[in-house]
Amino acid sequence: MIRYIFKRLLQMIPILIAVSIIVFFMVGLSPGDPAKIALGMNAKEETVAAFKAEYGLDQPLGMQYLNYMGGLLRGSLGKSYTTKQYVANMIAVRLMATVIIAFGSLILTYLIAIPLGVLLAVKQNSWFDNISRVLALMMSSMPSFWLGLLLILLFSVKLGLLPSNGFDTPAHWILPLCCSCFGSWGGSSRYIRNMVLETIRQDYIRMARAKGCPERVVLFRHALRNALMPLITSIGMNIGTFFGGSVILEQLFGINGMGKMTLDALRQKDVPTIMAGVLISTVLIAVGNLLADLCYGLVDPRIRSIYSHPRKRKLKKEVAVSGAN
Amino acid sequence: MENDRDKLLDVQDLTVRFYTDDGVVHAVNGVSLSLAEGETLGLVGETGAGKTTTALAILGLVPSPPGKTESSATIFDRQDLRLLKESEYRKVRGNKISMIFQDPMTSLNPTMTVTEQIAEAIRNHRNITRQEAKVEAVKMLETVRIPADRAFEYPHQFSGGMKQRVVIAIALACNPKLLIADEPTTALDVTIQAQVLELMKELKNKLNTAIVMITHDLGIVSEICDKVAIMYAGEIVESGSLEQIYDNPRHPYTNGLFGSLPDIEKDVEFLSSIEGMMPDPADLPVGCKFHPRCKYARPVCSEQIPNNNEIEPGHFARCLIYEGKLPGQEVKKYV
Repeated sequence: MIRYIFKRLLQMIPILIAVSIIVFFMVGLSPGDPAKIALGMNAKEETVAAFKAEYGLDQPLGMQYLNYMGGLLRGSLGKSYTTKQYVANMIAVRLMATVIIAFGSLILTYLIAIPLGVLLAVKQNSWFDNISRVLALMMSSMPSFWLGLLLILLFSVKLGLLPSNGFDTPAHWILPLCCSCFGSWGGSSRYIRNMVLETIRQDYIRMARAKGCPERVVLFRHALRNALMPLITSIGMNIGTFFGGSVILEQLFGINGMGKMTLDALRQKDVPTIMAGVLISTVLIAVGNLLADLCYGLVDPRIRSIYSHPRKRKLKKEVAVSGAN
Repeated sequence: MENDRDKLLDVQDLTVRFYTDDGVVHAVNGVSLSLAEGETLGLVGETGAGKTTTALAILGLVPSPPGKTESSATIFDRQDLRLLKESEYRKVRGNKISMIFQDPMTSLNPTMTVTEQIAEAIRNHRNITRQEAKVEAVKMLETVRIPADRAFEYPHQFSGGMKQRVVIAIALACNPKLLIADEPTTALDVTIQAQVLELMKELKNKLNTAIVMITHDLGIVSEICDKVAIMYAGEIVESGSLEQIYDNPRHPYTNGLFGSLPDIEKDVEFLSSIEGMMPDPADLPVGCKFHPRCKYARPVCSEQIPNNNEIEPGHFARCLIYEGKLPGQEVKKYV
């Protein structure tokens, strides 16, 4: 198991290198001079040259990349061209907000969508199921920026219940999280409903009923656990979506997060900040995917047996047998 | 003749229909079965004859909707199963009546160890701790000859034959009075088939369990059954003791089934077969349901529905020949 995790973490290195090359050169080769953007169009030639020398922008792009990566290996994320701050410090204050939005909405989505999906499967083809079908379509077709504005209008402006700007207290989290989950609640609950219905047709479910299991046990112990497997794959793939979504949400709710930071940096060709934003998102997404894959093993013993060491497996079994006798 | 009090299971006029968007599917049409304690009934028929649905109906597991189960009586162990509430029915399932399903590959939950799955059946019906149930389950596995050191493995770590033995262990975990075995050997290869049959015979003798053996394999029936019922298109077309059916098949369909078996003593080029296909249960023929495939059929067969005629004590056949409607016709053995 630990070997497997280690292997997966090692696999992240080539991914990070590839992402860094693509992003660095795409930004570097795009038109616009970062020094002029940072200093303003009216800056004097000497100031621009000094700026370029300070940040190593006078060197060829390939050299710039190597310098950047060298810094990265020494643990330095560089200095922002525009704010003149260390990028690491900028991220330190912003990372939490983005992680809360991305993983918070991920958790909140499935916390509601899983029970809802099971309920919909149980009540298949009832009026509840039919209404939810229409609602789900509506919910997933609403653009989040539009929905966010409506939420602000209702809960902040009209009712005055929740703050609309910033991310300081948990009360601030409610609107952005709901806004980001709203669309996925519809889609995911339908998906889970279908997975459960698919599973419930399996022979082992009929077998569980024939054993005399109460319907609740049939549903949660037998059906849901097996239905979760394809769901975990889809969660793993959704992690990226939630990170992407946080960019819009941070913009909308005035949250000082990584998404907003990266977006602002992109406008100003602030390469170190862009790179840091993208690379950290990549790491978070990769770790999220790894977690999803590990969960897969947790749920499905067929996968787990691939991870575990044969000798250990035997040992565990012997312990279990001696415990039972 | 057995007396009514000895009957463990008595099903009269069982009907199962599925109401679908494309019409009504007549899966089981007026099936009557009875079984005494310790007796084994072979329920024989082609695929799609309604054997499994009959079994599920006895267990109250026909999905509803779209399925609808009706009968004029379903008595098990002096209890009318039709009157049971779902929670009471659950106490019967897996406890007094249990079922072995056809495909062992898909009948076990892939995310639970085999012991957990057996222990679950035990804990559903007996008030014991999880640990005690596990100990019982391991014993049960040893009964079906699976060594205890494999007890905590998952279904994917077992071969097909072992999985079927696990399924049997689950079915027998609570010493059921009635075991419904739905083609328990179909998915297995021949050597394993013999092992599983041997095991079932042994358990039948040891525990005096009544068995409904659903199969399309006439060899298995002759090996293990006391009584035989031949099903066709949701009806029992012929029923009687093993000897009556095997020595003296009277329904043209039964006769056709036996005719399609290879005989080691006869030198024939081709095996005879029954022409045509089982009718679509959503669109059954009028009159006798077998008449489109029957070589004895006369126009009257498509008009009248045959009764269940008693030919000799305990031997019934649903054919108009035995009502004198087809003068001069006689079912000749095995042709």
